[in-house]
Amino acid sequence: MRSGFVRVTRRYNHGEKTVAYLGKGQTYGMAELHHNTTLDSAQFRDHHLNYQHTLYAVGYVDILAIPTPTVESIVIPKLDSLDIQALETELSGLKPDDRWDTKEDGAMMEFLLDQRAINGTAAMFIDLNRCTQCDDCIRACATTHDNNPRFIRQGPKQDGIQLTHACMHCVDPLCMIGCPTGAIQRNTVGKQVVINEYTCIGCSTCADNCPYENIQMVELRDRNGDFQPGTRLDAELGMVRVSPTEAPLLKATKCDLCETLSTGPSCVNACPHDALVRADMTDPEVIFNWIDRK
Amino acid sequence: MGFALITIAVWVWSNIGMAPTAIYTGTSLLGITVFLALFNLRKKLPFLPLLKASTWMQFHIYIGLFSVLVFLLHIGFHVRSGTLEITLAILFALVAISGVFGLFLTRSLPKTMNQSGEAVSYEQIPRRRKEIYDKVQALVEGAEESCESSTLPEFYLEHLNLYLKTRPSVIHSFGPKKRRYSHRLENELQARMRYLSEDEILIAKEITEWISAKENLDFQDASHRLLKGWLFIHIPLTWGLILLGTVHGILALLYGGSS
Repeated sequence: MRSGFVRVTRRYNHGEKTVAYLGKGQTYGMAELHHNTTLDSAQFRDHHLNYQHTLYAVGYVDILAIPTPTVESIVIPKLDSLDIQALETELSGLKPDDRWDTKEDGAMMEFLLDQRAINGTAAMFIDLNRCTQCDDCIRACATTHDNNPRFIRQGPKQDGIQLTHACMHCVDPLCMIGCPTGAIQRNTVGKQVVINEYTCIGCSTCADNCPYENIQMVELRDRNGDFQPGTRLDAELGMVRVSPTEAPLLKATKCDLCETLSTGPSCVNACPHDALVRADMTDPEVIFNWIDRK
Repeated sequence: MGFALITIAVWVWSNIGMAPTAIYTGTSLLGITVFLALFNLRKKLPFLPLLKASTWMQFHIYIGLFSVLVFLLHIGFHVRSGTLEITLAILFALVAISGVFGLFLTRSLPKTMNQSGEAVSYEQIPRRRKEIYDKVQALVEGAEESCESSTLPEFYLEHLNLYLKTRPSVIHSFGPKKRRYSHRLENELQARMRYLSEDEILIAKEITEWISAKENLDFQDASHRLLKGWLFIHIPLTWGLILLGTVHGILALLYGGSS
């Protein structure tokens, strides 16, 4: 996989069940190919494995297809024992008792893919079986961001887990495409997608691009709560302030994962019931282990 | 600072005639109560590196339970005389009971709310209540026009109109299902089915579903109010306890005799 995501499915009665997803840098098919190379010609007829899954593109996908003879003659002979052990483990995972085949996890996997949560490196999930809706997470967010909370405690739900409307800091952020001033960018240290409020001109391009509606345009107000006047481009004078009666100045706001705090996201730290998590979806085990926790 | 504390401790030790146990347990109890109350303050300072709120919550629960034991040791397992002491004991008991009650609520209600039907956030409840009211009203008006019958409109005016508008008490929503007003409404509507045409029966069934939706909404509303409301008892009482406990401590140090 060079970029994008694919849905990995298995035949299940008259339909197909999503069992996993693959993203950038991941491969598919090696376990079956390796298994087949271990068989001699007599065994091959009865015991060879076809590909066990079907792949479906989730939006834009760039896949590099390597011919089977190339893999068999060049790649497989150079595998070390650890690689082979990993492939054998993967193959054993294809057995019917594989955990992804259970009813509950299957539904959750479908949900994550349908909502495109897989694109997130810090997707916000709330365990509704623990959340008392005390709003401590929102208050903490507001306290950290000049009384301007950066997420909405709502979102689609599945099996008591809510995918909350907060920036997921996508692997492939569409919001970064087309910003005229480069105000939205990825932090070179923490990899968060952040907006520079001083260079943001409030054009809404990023908010319009975000397919998750996780970027909000807010009207700037002064300390008295009055709208701050905006600016406009004058042919002779350049950028000038408009009169206060015209449209207020807009700025794009979104979760920045509290990048300035050493303690990490305030929302997670503020939850007294351990009901909130920011999950890196490049490894689905993170969120499944969190859901399964006692 | 440390020297000052040691000096005060030595002074207390040599000048107070109270039993050491009373001093130890009393100061521990006041210290524990202040520490437990700091949890609320910590939540207002989320940006400080002071451990996660969930960790504080665990401390809060276990130390809170431990404080009951310290309290019992402090009073010597029997009720003391004196207005201040009795008031303090009652305050402590109320804080402890409200805390345990809050723990029970926060551990059980979210799951129940989530599994009982449509989970509605607190802010959305008024909008949802109006939505249900408007839907039922439209159904009844439609039935009156299309079926030319007064059975459903009469039922609406007699029972439904007020029920759909009002917000029942918290206790009502947690009572046995058979004693809830919604259950009586459904029975009442069922009893009137014999006067309805086939088209009206379909509408009546739809109204029954909306009554169930309203019942669930009332439950969600009551649960939200409980989840938020218990803190309005627990927190003010805690500050009252700290205040009176401090007064009690000062008086005990100034005038305390041998216990």
